[in-house]
Amino acid sequence: MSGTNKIGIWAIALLAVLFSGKVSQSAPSLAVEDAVTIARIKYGGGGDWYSNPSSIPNLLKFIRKETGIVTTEGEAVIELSNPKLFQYPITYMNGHGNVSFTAREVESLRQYFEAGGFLIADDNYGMDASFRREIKRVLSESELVELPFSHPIYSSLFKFPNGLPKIHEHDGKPAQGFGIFLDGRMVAFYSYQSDLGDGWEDPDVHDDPPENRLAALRMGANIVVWRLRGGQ
Amino acid sequence: MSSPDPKLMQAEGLLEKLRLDQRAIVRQSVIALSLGSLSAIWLVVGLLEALLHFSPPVRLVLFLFTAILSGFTLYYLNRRLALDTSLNRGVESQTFWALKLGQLASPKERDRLLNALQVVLPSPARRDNPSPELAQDALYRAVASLEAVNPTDAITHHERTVSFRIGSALLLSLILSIVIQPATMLGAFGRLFHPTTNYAPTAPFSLAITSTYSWAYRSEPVAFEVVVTGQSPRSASFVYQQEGGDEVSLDVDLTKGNALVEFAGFPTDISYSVRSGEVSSERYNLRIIARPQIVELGYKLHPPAYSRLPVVTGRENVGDIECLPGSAVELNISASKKLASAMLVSSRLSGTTIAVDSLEMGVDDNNASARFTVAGASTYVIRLRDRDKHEDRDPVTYHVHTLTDEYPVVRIAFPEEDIILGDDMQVPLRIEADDDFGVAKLELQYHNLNGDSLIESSPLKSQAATRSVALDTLWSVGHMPLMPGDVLEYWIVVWDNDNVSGPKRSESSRRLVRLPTFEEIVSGVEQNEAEVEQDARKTLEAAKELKEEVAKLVEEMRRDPKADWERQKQIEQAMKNQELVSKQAEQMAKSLDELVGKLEKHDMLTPETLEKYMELQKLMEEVASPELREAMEKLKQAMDTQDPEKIRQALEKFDMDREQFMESIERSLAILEQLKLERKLDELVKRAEELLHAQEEILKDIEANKTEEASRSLDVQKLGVEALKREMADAAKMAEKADKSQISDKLGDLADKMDAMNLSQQMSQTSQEMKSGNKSKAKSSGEKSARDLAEMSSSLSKLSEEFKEQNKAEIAGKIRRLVEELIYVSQDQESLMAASKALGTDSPRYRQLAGQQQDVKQALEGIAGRMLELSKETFFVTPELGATIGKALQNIDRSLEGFSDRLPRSAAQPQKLALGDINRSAAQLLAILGDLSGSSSSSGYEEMMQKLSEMAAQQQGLNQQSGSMPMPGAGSPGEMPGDMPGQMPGDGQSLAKMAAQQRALQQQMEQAAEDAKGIEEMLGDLEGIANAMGEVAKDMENKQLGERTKRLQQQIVSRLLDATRSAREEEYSKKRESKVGNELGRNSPSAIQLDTERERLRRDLLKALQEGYTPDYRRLIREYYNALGEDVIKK
Repeated sequence: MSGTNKIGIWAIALLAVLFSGKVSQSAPSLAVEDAVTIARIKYGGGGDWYSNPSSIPNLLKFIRKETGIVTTEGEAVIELSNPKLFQYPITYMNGHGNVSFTAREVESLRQYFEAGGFLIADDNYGMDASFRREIKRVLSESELVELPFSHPIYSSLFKFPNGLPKIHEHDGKPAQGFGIFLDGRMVAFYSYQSDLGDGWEDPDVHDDPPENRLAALRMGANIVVWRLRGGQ
Repeated sequence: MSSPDPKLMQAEGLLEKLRLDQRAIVRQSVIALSLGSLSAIWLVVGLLEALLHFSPPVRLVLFLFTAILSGFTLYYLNRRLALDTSLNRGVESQTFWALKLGQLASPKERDRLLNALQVVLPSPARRDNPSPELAQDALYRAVASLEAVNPTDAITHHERTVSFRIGSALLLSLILSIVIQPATMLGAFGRLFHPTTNYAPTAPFSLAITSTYSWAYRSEPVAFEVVVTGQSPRSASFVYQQEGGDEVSLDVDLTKGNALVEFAGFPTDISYSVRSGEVSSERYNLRIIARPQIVELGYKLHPPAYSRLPVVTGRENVGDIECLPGSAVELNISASKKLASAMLVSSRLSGTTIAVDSLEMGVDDNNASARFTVAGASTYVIRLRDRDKHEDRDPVTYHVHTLTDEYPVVRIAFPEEDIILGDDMQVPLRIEADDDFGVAKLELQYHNLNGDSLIESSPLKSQAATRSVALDTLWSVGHMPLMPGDVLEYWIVVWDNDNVSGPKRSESSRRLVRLPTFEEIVSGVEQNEAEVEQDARKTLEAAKELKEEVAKLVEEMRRDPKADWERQKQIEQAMKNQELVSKQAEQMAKSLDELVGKLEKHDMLTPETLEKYMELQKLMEEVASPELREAMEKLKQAMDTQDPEKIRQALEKFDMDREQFMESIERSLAILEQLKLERKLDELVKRAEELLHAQEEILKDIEANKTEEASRSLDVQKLGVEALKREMADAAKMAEKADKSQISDKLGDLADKMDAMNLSQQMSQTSQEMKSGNKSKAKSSGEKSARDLAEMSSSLSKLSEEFKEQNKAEIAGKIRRLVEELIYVSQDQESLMAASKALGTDSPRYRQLAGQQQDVKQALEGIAGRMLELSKETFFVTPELGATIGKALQNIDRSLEGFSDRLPRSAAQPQKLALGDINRSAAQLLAILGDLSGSSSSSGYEEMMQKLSEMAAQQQGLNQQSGSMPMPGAGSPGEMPGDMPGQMPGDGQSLAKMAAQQRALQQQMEQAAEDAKGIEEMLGDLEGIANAMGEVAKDMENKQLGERTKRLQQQIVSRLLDATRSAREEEYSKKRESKVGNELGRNSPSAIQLDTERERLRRDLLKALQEGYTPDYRRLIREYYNALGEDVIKK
């Protein structure tokens, strides 16, 4: 092989490396910008807002796998008073303890709802009373309305003919899915006595049967997909 | 025969040559003179004929005379050639030329020649003249003897020169006359040479067009000069004809002689002439030539890449360009003719001069193109030249306008004003930037106004340019060496993406963020607190005034039910006053909101006290209840009906709700008063903690030999100590005023203890030692101060807790007493009920039992009153609890009516309901008591619960702290750019501190597990929790916070909560078990009934009705909304 040919091959190889480097730099940023994510709400009041740490990543992964929707790897964490809240169309909160919103947070969450934001609230057992109290402060004119089983949120991707699945048992009550409406639009979905978040966790956390985990993930995907499709 | 002498032959030849040469010269002179003479004769004759136009006879005579004169002149001039002997062959000629030569010879030779000639030449006076041959021979010999003579000098040229000059001048005059007046002169000669021909009389003038073009450009001005020769006519006609067109005549004014005829231009070739009467000029032709010109023009505009604007195609035949500097223009033209060249000439203003640039365009037949880059505003023309070298005339000037790339704008949308820094040392920023073509970079710049701080900057954004940027970020200033009172001035700098002219830069307005001193914070809080209190008192005062007003109205309506105009106006006024009071209440809630925000921001309170403030906030927000608004609305509706009875009822309902409103304000005010002391104690704790923290920092400065910093801080510290003392004295007074003498005394004791510590002196000593360079002593003294401050902080903290516990205990005692009283009342009521059941209609005991029932009622009213009072001291007891007792009282009233009517069943039935209400009230109070005692530690078992609860709270605090830290490999939202993902935030100190706290918790838990022996079944595996705590601490020590750590932390809290809750309610532990859920079959809830639109209409209607319209308008409004509502239903 002549010297010129060798130089040519090296030049092509160098260009290829540079080009591939560019692609690998730009591709993730595009993906992140366009990807769907769920922001976990960091609330005050002493409740463990950070509970079920592996739940949202697992749910996002499940949605990505089942629907092809591009999702982020991990969750975002946001305080209600942070103006960035409005960058996340879907937020999530759960916990076992007390939930308390400051006046500013109440106002911010209301504005978030008015701006089209959607909240998934998941009672991890223990936050029901305080959540109902605080959400009433946010939307004083609205009541928690239990959704009928025919509601599209139970069939947007997977069918749940009996409504919200029961993932964990605490005191024998049925799982209930509530909607909170603002001007006729459902702005929050509240899962009560279901423990969806536990079901989304890694299998070894709660040692749930696979079918329960699957049901929880499917229901979670239903909620997200329903919202992404413009469900109201 | 002897041969001829060569010398003689040579002499003979010489003489002959001289003769012939001179003859040729003379002949030339004669010819020149002949020509000149003839020219002069004919010029004169021609002029005479031209001027006088002789008749044929005269002309004939003149012609003949001229011909004869010409012949004679020629004869006369040529006669000399024949007569001059020197020019003709012969002895005379030879002698003449020999003498001529002799004149040129030397005197000696000349004498010899003359001698020879005298001898040989025949003379009439001499008889013996020699023979001609001899004489000729002698002549030759004499000539041959001349040696130094140049024979050519003998010839004369002068005559010829003169003749030539004269002849030439005359001939030239003739030619010039013909050239100048060709027609006239040639006409004259023509007539002379035809003398007998009879010529018509010649016109007195002739016409001609001098400025004759053979061609002209199409449609461009052409001018012709009409020249008149001779006696000018007054006018003439300029006649021209275009190809294929009719002849066109134009009058030309010739009164002033020659005239100029101008035309704007011709489209095609023309022929033209000028006429006047019979006289006409020649006919001329003018060819029209088209210049090359642009017939099509177009361009494509390529804006600079940074603008991301699309390529634009310009409008057809519009060469004006509007674009950004740096845009590339592709220009294409099509010309009317084949081109030899095309030049794009642009000019632009450069300083005070105009810079002109030329660009040769590429040419292809009729087309030309060029590509150029726009640098700035300019004009350009395209100069064309065709292949016949004709150029475009006055090419169109096109303009290039450059668009201005505006400066970017940036503003700090949040905070909207200068702010005070909170304890989190973070400033939430919302930055909005715009640029017409893209924002390239944003930077936060700041500096500390207190000091010589340089401007520092922190990049905020550097990514693909977008036109509009809204950026939310948290600016953390925790890493800066800020002192209380320091002010940071900050602003945002934005750059646009103009890489042609260079990025343009703008700045936002500047804002300040201030790290407040503790005194400022406290002062602000106290001011807010005073405002809240003032607002509350004002509201209460106004509410009390209103109370009287409404009570009077109610009384009047009861006494004299009528709905006349005056009374309606009074009611309306009362409602308006209520609106005003409600607005005051809103203001009160707003002030409190501000206060709570400040307390929360600066971490001024323990979570417990903060929660109380938030409860109070909620209470104040709900003061103006929906019920009151509804009651007011109903009252308005009742007034519309004009029905006195309905008005009375609605007024009473309004009065009742208004009463509740007032009670809420009273309650808020009472609780606020109570909270003030609690807040003050928290403030003292916080002050002591701040002092302790500052002292620790001073110790660090001492260790680092920062003498100046330490001394300055110690001075501040001394002021802080004095302030703490003052505030302790204030708090003691407040406690005294609130009848908390125990707390007041303890505060006094603590103040004494603090005096004994002599902290200020210690600090002065520390400062002194530092300055003296005695570091160890300074350190020792500083550490002593720190220990004392720690002790003071701890004591104050304990006192604050004690105060809260004491409050709780007092309230619990009051509740307990209320419960006991209710139980007694319940027993009495039960006995009464049993007795009532046994009554017959004619029983004599009715009066007695009625009296007993009245006693019960009074007792119950007393309890209700005390409960109301208690509700002003605690949030646990709400006025709503009194509603149950209210129901009981209503039932008792009904039973009294039964007694009065002597109807035993009518008395017993409500008695039963009343008993239920009394028992329910007692149960509610008991539950409250349970909640209260749940947080106290009156027994060993409860102590354990308390301990576990505290540990759960501490663990939650730790979890939150670590939860706020980014996980390795994952960024945290809101973090400032530049924080590296995966790094632990701040320094390792905070993590180490957390690890130490976790270890301490672990030890406590191990101790608790030890203490809980015997009740572990109820509490669960406490040792397991302790182990988990150990694992978490280990992760923290190794700086390896991960998912596993978080999970462990969460499990610890869950299990602690399980333990505490299960201890209160046995089944609780079962609830916390994560048992796998099983589906419970049940029916679907009914379909959602959201009557939102109707509800909205209803709200709008209410709002509209409250606007103060007249009844007629209100009726119309109501009808309008009703019609809308019907539409909604139909839909």
